[in-house]
Amino acid sequence: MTTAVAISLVVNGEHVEANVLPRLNLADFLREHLKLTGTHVGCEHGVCGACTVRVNGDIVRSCLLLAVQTHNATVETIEGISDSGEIADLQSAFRERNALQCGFCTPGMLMAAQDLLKQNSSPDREQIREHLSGNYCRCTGYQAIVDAVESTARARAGRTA
Amino acid sequence: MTSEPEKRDPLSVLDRPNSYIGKIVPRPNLDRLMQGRGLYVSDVELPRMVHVVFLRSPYAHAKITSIDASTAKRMPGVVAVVTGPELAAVITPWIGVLSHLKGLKSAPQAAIAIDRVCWQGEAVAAVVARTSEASTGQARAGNVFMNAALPRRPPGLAWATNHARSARTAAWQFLCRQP
Repeated sequence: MTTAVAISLVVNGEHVEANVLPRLNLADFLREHLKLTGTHVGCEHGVCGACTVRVNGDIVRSCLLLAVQTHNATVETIEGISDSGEIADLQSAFRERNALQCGFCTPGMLMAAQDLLKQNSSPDREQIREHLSGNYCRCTGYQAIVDAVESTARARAGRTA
Repeated sequence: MTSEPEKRDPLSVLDRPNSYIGKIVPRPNLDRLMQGRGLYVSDVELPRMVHVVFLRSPYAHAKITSIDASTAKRMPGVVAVVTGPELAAVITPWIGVLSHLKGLKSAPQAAIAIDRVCWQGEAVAAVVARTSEASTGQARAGNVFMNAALPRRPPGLAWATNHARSARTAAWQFLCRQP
């Protein structure tokens, strides 16, 4: 448990090689080793969703995954999907609807919302709430968040139609 | 009250009635927060920074009978293990007062519990270490012994008494991860 393990992975499109202790979780690896502090650590036991990142296309709690488990994986964080422009429309809907106050939960919210919109192009409000139910916002702004996700879904549907 | 005629500066746009109410006020910092580029306290790193983890009471009302931090203090990476009485030497207890209700004040509240805890989650000890890993736990590093007190039974809350009884004598070990 005290010997570092060599891992190799892709983070936000960049190859990363690192030596990590087997007990290091992915959230701490991203934050402390790669300084990608957009991935937030709230509850540290998989409840709050602030640490949500994408691993091989699926959203996961990075506080519940060990860094060594991401060997050979592709990891995307909020910094990556912001820079690629993938969620630019979702972010501007959040801005327009004022769907954040302190913003601590927002990276995880955006990750989860984008995951929903990829699976379901026209979710209803209940489905949005259900999909975001593992992401806690302690400023209690859920109404505006659901509004922003809903309007993004509509706008995207309009664009492809 | 004065009898002088009221003299007022002309109102600015923002002073007009309803200038803010119901309006979305632009927040230029939102973009940074939404891109994961905010700077929260937990993102701050300082030279020689140490990390603290509070050991908290699992009981709502209990007497602390002993705290043995000797092993924890010897763990590599641990800078200090601080208990209530030790901290009380440098911090006076907080007493809440209300300026509009003179004479009303809370009981003194120590930063870390001294002798007894009064709520679940109250800090019992603080472990300070050079890395956050060292201050949270994996290897057994110390013991805290507590006797949960039986609360006075509030009407209709029998479960509280039963719960307290089952937790009457309690001991738990606190943990310190090796770096």
